[in-house]
Amino acid sequence: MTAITPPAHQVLDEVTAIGGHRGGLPERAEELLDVLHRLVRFDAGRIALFDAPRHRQTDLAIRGYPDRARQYLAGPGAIHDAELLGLHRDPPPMRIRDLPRPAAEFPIWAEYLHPAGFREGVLVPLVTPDGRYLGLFAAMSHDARPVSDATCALLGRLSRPMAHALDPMRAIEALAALVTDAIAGVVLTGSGGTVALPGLPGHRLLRPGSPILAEARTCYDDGDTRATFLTPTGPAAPSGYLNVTVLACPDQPPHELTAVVLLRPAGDLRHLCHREMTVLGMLISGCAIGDVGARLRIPAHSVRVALEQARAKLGTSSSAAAVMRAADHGLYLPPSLIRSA
Amino acid sequence: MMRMSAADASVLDEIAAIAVMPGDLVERAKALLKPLQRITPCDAAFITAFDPERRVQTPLLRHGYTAAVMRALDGPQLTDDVEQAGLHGPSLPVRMGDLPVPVETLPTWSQHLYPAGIRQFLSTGLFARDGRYLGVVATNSADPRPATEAARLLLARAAPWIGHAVDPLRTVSAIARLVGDAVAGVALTRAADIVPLTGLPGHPLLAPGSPVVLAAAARTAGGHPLTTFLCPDDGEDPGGGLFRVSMLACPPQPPGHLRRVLLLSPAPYPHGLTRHELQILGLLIEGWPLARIAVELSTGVRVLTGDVELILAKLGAASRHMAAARALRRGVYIPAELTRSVRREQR
Repeated sequence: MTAITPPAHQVLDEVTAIGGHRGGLPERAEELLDVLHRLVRFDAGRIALFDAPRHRQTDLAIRGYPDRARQYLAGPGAIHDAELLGLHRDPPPMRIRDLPRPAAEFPIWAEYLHPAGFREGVLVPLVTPDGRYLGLFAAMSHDARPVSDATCALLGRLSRPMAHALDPMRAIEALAALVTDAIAGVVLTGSGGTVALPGLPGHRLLRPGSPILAEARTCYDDGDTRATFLTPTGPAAPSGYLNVTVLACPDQPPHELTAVVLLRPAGDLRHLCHREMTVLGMLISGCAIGDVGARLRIPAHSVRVALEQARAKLGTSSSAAAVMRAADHGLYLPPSLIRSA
Repeated sequence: MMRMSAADASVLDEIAAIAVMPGDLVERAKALLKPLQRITPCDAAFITAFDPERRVQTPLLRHGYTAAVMRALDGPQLTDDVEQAGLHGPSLPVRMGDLPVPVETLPTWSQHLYPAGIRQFLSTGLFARDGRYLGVVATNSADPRPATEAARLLLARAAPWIGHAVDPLRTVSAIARLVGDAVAGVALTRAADIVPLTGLPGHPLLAPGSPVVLAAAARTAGGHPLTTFLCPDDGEDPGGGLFRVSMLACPPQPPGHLRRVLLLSPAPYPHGLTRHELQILGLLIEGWPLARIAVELSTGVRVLTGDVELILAKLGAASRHMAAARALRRGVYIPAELTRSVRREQR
């Protein structure tokens, strides 16, 4: 495996620039492979992301691997190998000869790559600047000569900028940063779980299985690009309120980060009372005005009074406009968040 | 150009490295103080970002000034004096002796800087690569000896990097990348004017004062980080295509006039809704009663009631409120402003 070593800052510049491109993650990975191929003359190369929820590796870009090797890499064996190598512990780049165990112990090498004529290679873990393990870059060559120590050191320096360029959390963080007064937040995943949002703490109201997350998921599944509503902060009726803002994440295949759920101070509630916010929430959720009283176990007259008071407080000319203003500004309590008294 | 000394080259490298740092422009401006002090000996320095709408030089970096001088630098006088000094157009950095006007005629100097003991300066305007005027950088010293010609040339070489470091459009363009399928976009200012983005073309629908820009500006009040709605891409042909308009809030950063990013992406007709139905939804979102919507859309209430029933079915909504709230959250409506502007043209 031969390598030419250009000035480090030049390669760093190129990798950093790729991080700023508009394309999706697979396009960026292809561009990174182009840069890496000039650095390490590999015969087979791949950039793969570790897909934690599905417990497998997903190739963003792959070149030169035999089909059978690719099938193996898409399966659970590749994850097992990566764990044996301790890639998640952010080791320096490893050549085949540097592996912590003999290469022959790894099926990918013994059964697929070595028989296909590959004789050397290098593995680089991709770890973000804030320490999250994203995946790996692997390069294999028919040439048995290993890359130099200098090239290994340069590849090690590229780990973080490469991971930064391929980090799906960057767009999510940028999205969350649009909400400047968020006090807590999480990211919903396609498989139903949550992952932490870098830079923001979680919250007891945003634990897996919480009513807020269920409501947020319903909004996302409905196709909402953004939803905003209020939540009581405690079980007692005269409690405080927080605003919940749900923003659909940009699609970033192969990742399934679906929506950011943020908590912010409730802001100006226009002196709306709990009942008024509850009635508004019922109407926004499709309840007919005649049914609101029955569901809240209050007389129909009280519902009309609450709606009229809400209209006056929101300063609109009609109750329909008041309901829409509440929907737009998130000044309502969704029925799923009202604890049955 | 003259060959740079190794020391000058290292100052320029340091400035370039700061300029390409990600993150907040105020942080970058503050990090520039050290290399500025290496360009020429100085006791005080400032960098400002120009707000073209309020015509003020908002401070990004200020070091070494008394409280009284800082108050003076906050005022509108600085903007006038910067223009008098010729720093709003491209020119070489100026020292006191290079000014196009006598220094005593600049009140910032004669009333504030000079009485505070400042006797010399080196300053230049900051411009983006595309020529946008961004602000000013200045160093001040109590020593009356002017900066050397070499220092002046070094600041001239560093100025484009300093400009890049404090360019507010960088943050805004990064936000625009959140909408991956956008084909056009602009930044919307505090005064509902528009500024082109780097890396995305503009669009006739996004011209200043256009119905789309007015509809977007009308939706900034809720303080939403993200607002989306639909817009016909031609205005006339009811079978024509649609654009999704996405409006994203910009984080508050100096100089403060860039408030929103407006982006256009091609969009299919959602949920099988027709253009007419998307217009009805836009008016339902305004809270209009059916009778008023019927007049606006030149149709009968009975026909409209049927249309609304169909909309509820298509959106899977149990009531008009729910349909309108869903349309609002999904951005599947044509805002009332766009419907009304077409009507006005047809009259």
